[in-house]
Amino acid sequence: MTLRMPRAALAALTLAVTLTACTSVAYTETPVPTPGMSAAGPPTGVATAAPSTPAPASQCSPAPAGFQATQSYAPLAALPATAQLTGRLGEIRDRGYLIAGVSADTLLLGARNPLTGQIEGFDIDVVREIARAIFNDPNRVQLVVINAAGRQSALTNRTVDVVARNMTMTCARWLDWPIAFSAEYYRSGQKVLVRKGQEDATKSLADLAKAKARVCAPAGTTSMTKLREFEAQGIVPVEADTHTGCLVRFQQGSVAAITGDDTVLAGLVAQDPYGVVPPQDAVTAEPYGLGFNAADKVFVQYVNRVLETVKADGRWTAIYNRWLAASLGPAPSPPPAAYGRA
Amino acid sequence: MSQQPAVAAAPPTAAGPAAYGIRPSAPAPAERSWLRELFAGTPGRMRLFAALASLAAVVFGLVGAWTLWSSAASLGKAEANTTQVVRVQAIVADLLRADADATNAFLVGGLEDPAQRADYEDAMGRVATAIATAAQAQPADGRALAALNVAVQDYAALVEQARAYNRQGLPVGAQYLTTASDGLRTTTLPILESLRVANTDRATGEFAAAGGIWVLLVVGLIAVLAITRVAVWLAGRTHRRFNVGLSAGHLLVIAALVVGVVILSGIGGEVRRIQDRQFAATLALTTARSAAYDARANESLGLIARGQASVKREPAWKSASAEVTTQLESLSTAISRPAGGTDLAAAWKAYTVAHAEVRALDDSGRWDEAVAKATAATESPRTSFSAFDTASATELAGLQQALATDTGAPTGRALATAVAVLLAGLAAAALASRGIAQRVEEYR
Repeated sequence: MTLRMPRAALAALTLAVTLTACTSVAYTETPVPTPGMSAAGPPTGVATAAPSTPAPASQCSPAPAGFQATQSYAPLAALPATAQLTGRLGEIRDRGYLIAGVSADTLLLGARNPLTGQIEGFDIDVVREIARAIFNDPNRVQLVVINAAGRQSALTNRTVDVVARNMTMTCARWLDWPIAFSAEYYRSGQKVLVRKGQEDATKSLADLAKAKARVCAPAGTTSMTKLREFEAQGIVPVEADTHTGCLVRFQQGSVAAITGDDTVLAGLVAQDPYGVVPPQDAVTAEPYGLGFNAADKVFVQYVNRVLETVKADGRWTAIYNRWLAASLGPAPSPPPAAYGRA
Repeated sequence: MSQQPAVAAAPPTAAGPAAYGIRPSAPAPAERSWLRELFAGTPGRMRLFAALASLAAVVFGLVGAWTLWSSAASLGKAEANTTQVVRVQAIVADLLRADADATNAFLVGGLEDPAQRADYEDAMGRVATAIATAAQAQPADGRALAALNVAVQDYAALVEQARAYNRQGLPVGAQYLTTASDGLRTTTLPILESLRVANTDRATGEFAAAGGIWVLLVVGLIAVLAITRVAVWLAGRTHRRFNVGLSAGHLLVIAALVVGVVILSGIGGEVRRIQDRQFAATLALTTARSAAYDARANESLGLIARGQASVKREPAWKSASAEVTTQLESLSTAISRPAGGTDLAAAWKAYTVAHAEVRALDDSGRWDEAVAKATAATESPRTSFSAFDTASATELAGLQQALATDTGAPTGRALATAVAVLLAGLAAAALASRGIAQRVEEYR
């Protein structure tokens, strides 16, 4: 009996000591979340894989016999008076302004001038000529900024009347998207931009493939499609939202080169003197057309007549000189139009 | 009598019971005979029981004092952890505030509003200071705060690069700014969220520990039972129902136990109230403020992403605005808001109305007018947003003060009670051994 007391006391003490130990543990370290990308990295992921959704069956692989992507609808014989416009053109006239999907960050073609807040460039001036034809006022345009990947939906959902955003005329866009194109209004070609000092060693995608370089192009562009063709030869394609996004990656050193149309690259070089477009043959021909909803055939024919006039009376050359001559040399003759699409 | 104090003053350490053990494992022969003599016969038993009663009282006093002291310590740690949570939330709010300034200023081109620029600088300055303070306050946050520091520097560098390009009129500036803003949301804010969760968990754990009565209750009851057993044995031997010293010590231990348990459970209830009210309210308001800045930044980013606001920025604005409303409701549920204070929900509503007007202008193609409205210094949304900002900052300062005061009060009470329980335990031990020593004397 007398033995119980010391044991009870001992048990109490043990309990107290145990509980002390339990409550005075140091805190565990706060976990650091592993970010999906570096803080300095651009927001879009470094997508080197092909698009996750398989491309729907294309009508363009192979293209129908005799298909010419640059071929558009025959222009109207003459521009009807504004009051006589019907259909889609009548809707635009009644609305009071043309809605155009454009780029706001492709310097020289379509870019917002931060000093004035205005979007300006070669593509923008072409759109203004359409507005001039319809309204006799080049300023009756609402510019809606879209990125390259948004061009198709902007047209098929009719959020814009026309897309003027350095868009290459391709079979897939004619038949698979589907959209309609105006006659070709500019002939560009895909080239590469590299770091100053590298212009002798790497002046083409083939050279960059040999160097196993990381090369950036915007998602959803023909430039990216072409870039992926070099993936097997060693190029690491890197995706960005826009070409300007590529320039950020280039400046941060996460890509060695940018590929795109020479016009676009000229705009990037204008912003970064350490980017160089070495003398090179364009890897592709990039005929630019204005994009329309596939159902707007008459609208396209109307615009083709406008383009014929603009090319013929020197306005095309004036626009070229205003935006591109300083970077790309004197104006060539305007690209010839191909018609005959049914 | 001459040997008695030696027994009572024996150190009540963990080794104590072993020293009084009936069968010490290997005592020296001389020591064994001394011990035998000391505990031999009825007086010896009495001495032993006196020692047990004293030990029980001293252990109770020490453990009780320790429990109350650690309750006070837990309250202190809980307060430090909640302060860290508030600090982390303030960093979130300041970063998003800076982002709202940077993106809004960007809309007007290279010539920023100097006041807006100053506000950006101030916010980033507060962020830098808060990161240093937070690192000092909680070593366990060190690695996360180091990562945060890197992310914040990256953000600031990208914003400066964006400004430099913007002043030259180059479109790549806008790209740097959106890169900065997106990086802030994908990299920096998750680190801060991790810090918020970790410190909230620490605070919750400490709050729970502060109100724990079990150790005190169990040790107290064991002590009371032990002394009861000694009293019963003594009564049987001496044929006197009560021993004055022992009974006084007994009552003292019971009284201290009751007081300790009452005080501790009171603290437990109080910390639950603090958690449910002041702490919850502080969290709700800081979260609401962060979401508000996020919304304002997304309003500007929507205008910068000209024509594409509906893709990403407007949905982000909507979810941020909904978060503000939800958190303001939680705030009202958690505490009764001061009468006469600004109705924050109404202030936020005023801003959302102006935001809707900006969006309507942009969506109908009047981008220039939308930008003019979004950036005008004397017009809503800027004025209505700033009204919400000022009013919520005032209320937050009040809440933080109340939180510190409310955790301070029970801390003092716990410490005072700890001293009282310790003294009660020691006094009870002295009384018990003295009381039994008088009976031992009767055997001389």
